[in-house]
Amino acid sequence: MKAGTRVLGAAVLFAGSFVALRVSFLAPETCPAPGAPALEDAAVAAGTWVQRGERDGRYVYEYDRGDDRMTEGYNIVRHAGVTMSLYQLVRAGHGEVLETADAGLAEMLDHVVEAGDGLAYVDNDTRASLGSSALLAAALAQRRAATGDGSFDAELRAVGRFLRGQMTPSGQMLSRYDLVEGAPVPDETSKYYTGEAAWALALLHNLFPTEGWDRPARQVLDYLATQRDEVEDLDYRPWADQWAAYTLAELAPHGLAEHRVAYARALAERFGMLVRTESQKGSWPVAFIDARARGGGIGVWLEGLGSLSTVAKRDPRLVDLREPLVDRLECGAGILAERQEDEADAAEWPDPELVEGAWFRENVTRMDDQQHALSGLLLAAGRLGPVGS
Amino acid sequence: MRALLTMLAAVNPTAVAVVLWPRERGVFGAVAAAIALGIVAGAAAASEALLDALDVSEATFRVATGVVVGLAGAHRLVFGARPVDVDTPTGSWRRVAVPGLIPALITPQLVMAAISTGADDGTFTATWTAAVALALAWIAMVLTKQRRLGWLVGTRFLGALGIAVAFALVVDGVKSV
Repeated sequence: MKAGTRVLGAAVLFAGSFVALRVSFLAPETCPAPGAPALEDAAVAAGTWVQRGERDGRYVYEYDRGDDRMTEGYNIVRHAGVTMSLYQLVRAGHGEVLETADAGLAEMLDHVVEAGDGLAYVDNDTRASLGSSALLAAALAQRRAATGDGSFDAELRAVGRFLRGQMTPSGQMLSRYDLVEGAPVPDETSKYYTGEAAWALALLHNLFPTEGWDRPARQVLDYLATQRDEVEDLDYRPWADQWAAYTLAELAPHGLAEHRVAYARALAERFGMLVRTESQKGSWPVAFIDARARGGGIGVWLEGLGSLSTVAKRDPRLVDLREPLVDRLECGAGILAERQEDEADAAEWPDPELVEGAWFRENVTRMDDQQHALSGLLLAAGRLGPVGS
Repeated sequence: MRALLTMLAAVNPTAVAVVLWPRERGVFGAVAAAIALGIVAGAAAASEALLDALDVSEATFRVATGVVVGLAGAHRLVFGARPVDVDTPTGSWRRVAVPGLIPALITPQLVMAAISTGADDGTFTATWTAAVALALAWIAMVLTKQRRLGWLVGTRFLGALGIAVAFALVVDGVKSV
């Protein structure tokens, strides 16, 4: 073969390799950087979307802008989560949503029943879910931190006692309580609720530090850190659990054992990879992994990264993660803010009020898209931290 | 250690020996290896600027390097190596370029490894680890060799090493924040 042909062949190999990589693994990571005030504005716009849709303490659950149709049905766990995020917005200085959040809280408190040693937030089911009660407790804790008003402390403690009663000796949380039998339903767990309960217990500890809430909080956190993914057979370990990250952030000021630090690091790696991949998706000609993540998905990652960033700032064993965590947090927040529907985008749809401030995928948005995005954006804007900070 | 293994897998000195079978003149081989080392050092030194220009993080580039090193390793493991057929006359300095640099030494996997190691571990580490791998490649290409079987076994072994290194690079890249 002629030498020139060899050189040409090598040039083709190099160019082909580069092109193939550039549209796949080596696609550019696009990270808009709108700055903290713009991120906070985006969080406020998300809160305003919830506020506009609130009627009698209930929010717009799901909306399809293509059909200009609201989806039937409701989910009280998500209701509790949205209310909690509105109180986070109040904590960040946006008292204009307090009335809406309080309406959402009143709706929850109208539906609490005695369960176990405390109170549980239920719908019409005969089984109380751990998640709705955990997020009710988190909402009450965020409200207390935001307003300093202790008028719901009795309810907060009562919900905490219900949560504690769902815990098994290993720290695993049972996800249901049978209101007819008057006992937790054995062997039923949820990959979401355990972390939510751990966070609620940690919040209780930081609000009432002498009452012993730290023991169950740490026990559940340890279960999450060392056993949960395996026992409950979760894929992609560690499972990207932002509730566990919130819990770590609440408990970090009190010191974290080595295995908890290792868990924080593993979670940071997971959330970091998810944001990095998302930042490349815009340059992929074909979706290799998934279409663009929904607003709630990116919001969850930001909640995780923001909470872990707080942990890394507190714990010298994670000092090497401080800068990368901030980079990823800012990157994800920039992506999220860019994908939010603004006034001009909204004007093109039949009901602009149900579009502006929201995140849509395939023309559908759900209340928790705004919830998680709001929380994540506040964390990225530096406007939110642990109750215990 | 990983940097050294990455360079060994990317250069694959035994494959270089087979490609330049039966042997290359020592001075030609030395010049080719020196130029290759210069390219590695330059790529490593420019790694930060290159990654910035490409808008990718070190972790992302590490994953891409793992993919390229892994594919090259798998190719060597499955297909081995063959002596290169070129019209460059024996004794001509043009042999430094072809087949010395192309296709023997300068490969996509070596360039990727140089940039990735430079970004992760610094120019010095990238350069000395590449120097070791290229020195072994030079020894392999100038040795007088009789039977090809042992070299082909070595080629496949280093191909397998490339796959292992690739796995480590990808996992590390994916797990980076």
